[in-house]
Amino acid sequence: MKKTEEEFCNDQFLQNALNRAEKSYFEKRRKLEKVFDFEKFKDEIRDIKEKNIKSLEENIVFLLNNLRSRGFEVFFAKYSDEALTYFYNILTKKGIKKVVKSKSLTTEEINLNSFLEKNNITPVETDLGEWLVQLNNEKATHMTAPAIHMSKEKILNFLNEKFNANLKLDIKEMVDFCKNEINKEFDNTNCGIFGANVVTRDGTFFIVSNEGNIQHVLNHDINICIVGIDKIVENVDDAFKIVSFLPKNATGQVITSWIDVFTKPPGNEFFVILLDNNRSKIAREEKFDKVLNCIKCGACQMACPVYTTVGGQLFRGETYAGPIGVLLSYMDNYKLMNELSFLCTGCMACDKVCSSRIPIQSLILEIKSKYERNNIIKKFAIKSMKNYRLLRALISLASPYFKDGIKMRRFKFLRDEFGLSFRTLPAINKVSFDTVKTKSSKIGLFAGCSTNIFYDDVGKDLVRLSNFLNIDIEIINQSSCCGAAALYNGLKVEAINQAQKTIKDIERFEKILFLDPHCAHMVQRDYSELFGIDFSNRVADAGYYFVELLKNRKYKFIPLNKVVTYHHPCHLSRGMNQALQIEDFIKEKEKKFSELNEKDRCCGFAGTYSIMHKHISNKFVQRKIDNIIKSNSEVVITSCPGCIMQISGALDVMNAQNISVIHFVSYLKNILGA
Amino acid sequence: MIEKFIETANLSGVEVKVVKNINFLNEFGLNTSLDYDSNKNVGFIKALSGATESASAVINIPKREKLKSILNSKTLYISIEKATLRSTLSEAYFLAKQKCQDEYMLFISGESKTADIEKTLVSGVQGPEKIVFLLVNKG
Repeated sequence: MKKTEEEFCNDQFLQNALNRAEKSYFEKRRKLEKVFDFEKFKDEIRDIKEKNIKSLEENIVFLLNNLRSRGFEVFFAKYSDEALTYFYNILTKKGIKKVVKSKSLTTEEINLNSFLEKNNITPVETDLGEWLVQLNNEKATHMTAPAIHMSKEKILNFLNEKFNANLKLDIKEMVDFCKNEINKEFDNTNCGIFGANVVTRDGTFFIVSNEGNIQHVLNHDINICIVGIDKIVENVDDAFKIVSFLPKNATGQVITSWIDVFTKPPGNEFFVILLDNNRSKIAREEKFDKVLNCIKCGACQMACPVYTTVGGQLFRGETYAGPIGVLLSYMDNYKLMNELSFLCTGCMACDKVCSSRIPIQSLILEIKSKYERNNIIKKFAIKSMKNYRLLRALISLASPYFKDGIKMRRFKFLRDEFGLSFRTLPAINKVSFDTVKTKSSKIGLFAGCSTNIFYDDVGKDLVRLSNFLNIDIEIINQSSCCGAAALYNGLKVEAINQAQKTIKDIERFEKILFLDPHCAHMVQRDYSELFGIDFSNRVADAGYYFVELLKNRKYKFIPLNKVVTYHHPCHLSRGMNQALQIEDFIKEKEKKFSELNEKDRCCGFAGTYSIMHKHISNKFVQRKIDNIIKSNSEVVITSCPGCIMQISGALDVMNAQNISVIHFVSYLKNILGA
Repeated sequence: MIEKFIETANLSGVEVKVVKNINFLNEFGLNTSLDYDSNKNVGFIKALSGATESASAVINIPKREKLKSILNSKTLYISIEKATLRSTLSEAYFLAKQKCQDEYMLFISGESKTADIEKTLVSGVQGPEKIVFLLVNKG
């Protein structure tokens, strides 16, 4: 039976393995980031990939001609079944009953191993991680660390069982045992199958590796290479740039131990399969062509909080896992795209580390809109947000019943169902905050649904603050939600409707302030993508706006004089790059500032995500709270009502009343004595 | 160039020795007049060039025996002439290609290793457990 989200979240072995992997990866990566300019590399890789994907057809023709002119047998496989048939034909013609393989994502994509097994040909993986997952009848769950989900205890048990061995729980001993078993296989065949990381259109192949197994695989009489057409680049310089950055971003290594560069491997016969499998189709799609920029480093998997919580057995398509797995599975026409894409929280941690600057999160949103999955209640809730008259009426109606917050303490089923077991929700405002009357101004405040429904105190703090600073800010009487909730739930048409209404509300302002960075980022980035309207110069997070303003003014600040920390909301930090400035401001004012470990890791709210994927959301917020507790903070400051809701709601369930969570605008009001 | 190579190799945790010649390898029973040689525990190989950006040596593989010799050495010494050091992988590759037309070039930057079990690094999987770069500076 399929393991559930809850089971993955509670699998302590998995959690330990993933935590160790994540920690080790980022420690190594941070060291390298001090020495190498990762951002420059990313720009270069993006440019190289974009250039070559634009010339894809030309590159294919060049490569085919070059390889054929050198006498190699080359096959262009439009689809995976054609590639499989070609493999079968070569292997049967040569009478081969066993093959050794080096790690190849492309062979995983076409399910080569199961195909060969069905046809009585034994494939033997020789990369240690791949060999372990093959032995255990599993699938690789990470691009560069296939057995990342397996604990050493689990590996020990099945090694002892399968080989009737008596190994101890010692990783070196286990590796030595595995390598000896793998080593036996190299002499049992005359055929090696491998992939390539890059191939130039003149036919030079590049393979990066660490173990040395690839060189053993290449050292056979018959060599068969399968490579996706997206791996073709124009020249050797392009190829070296890719193989140079790939290990840095993938594993935090300066370079891999080995790079094989050849125009012909050492064996006598060389066969090449160029695999299309929808790549040329996707190369023609305006937005999704960027998927082919992927150099398969797997960094997005290590950065993704969902992946590092549930692993690549759950957060996966047929072949590929994690954030890039969503995009590659879309390319591969995976059947359950709705389930897969909706596992993404939209936190953009993947975008930040991507080797080639693929806008992964934005493309996943696009996929969500193609495979929308919402129940009736959720749809109703989101759609009701486009009619603020109705929403205001619902607020007034519900307010008396939820004066002390939404907790459902007497209704276990509802509590569990709506994710209220791990975090409560705050009280509902008596009236929607945006109905507060203010003078007209060129500066508008778009309070957002969270403030309007739950946090009128934050809105009121902003009004007090602006009065204190003598700035006229007009509270925008919203006609609708900005559309972010709809867009992030795959309801793109609805999002467009809501956005159009919002544009009418905000377009007359010279500056538009936001209390919720999710709304700000929606207007700044997604309105530009949806309508081509550029609001970027006019949009500002309210807290950031005040921080910038206060640079030129002299005021007396009375610090809280408590241990405080700052949590970076996803959309403010990675979406708008404005969180660090706010943290610096607080650091300057508060002597007892304590920096939060993993300060920009998603808290797990993400709107309805915290209800639809409550177990994952719970894991996120527990980790956040662990870090808060370790920071010894009495006050957690942040800039997003959603994050406040999630963190303070979880603290409420834990009865941790000694820690308060406040919006930065409220903090600013307090230290200014406004 | 030498300093840069050493600095980068240190980042990867690979030992580098600056030497005037590689005659000391004869003490291991290796014939240093050859292009490569190995016994059960130790091997050596002469690189065509080196890249400082990644502390890599470029080795030509004209025949399968040479590859086997590299893979079977427990400790592998790789000598690189100072004059053949280049800044980038690409430059080092082109220099190697100028020197010989072999179809297979192997860049070595570190020992054979894996971290496939719980991210614990273990050296010496299907190749050398230790790599030592010998930067030959004849002065």
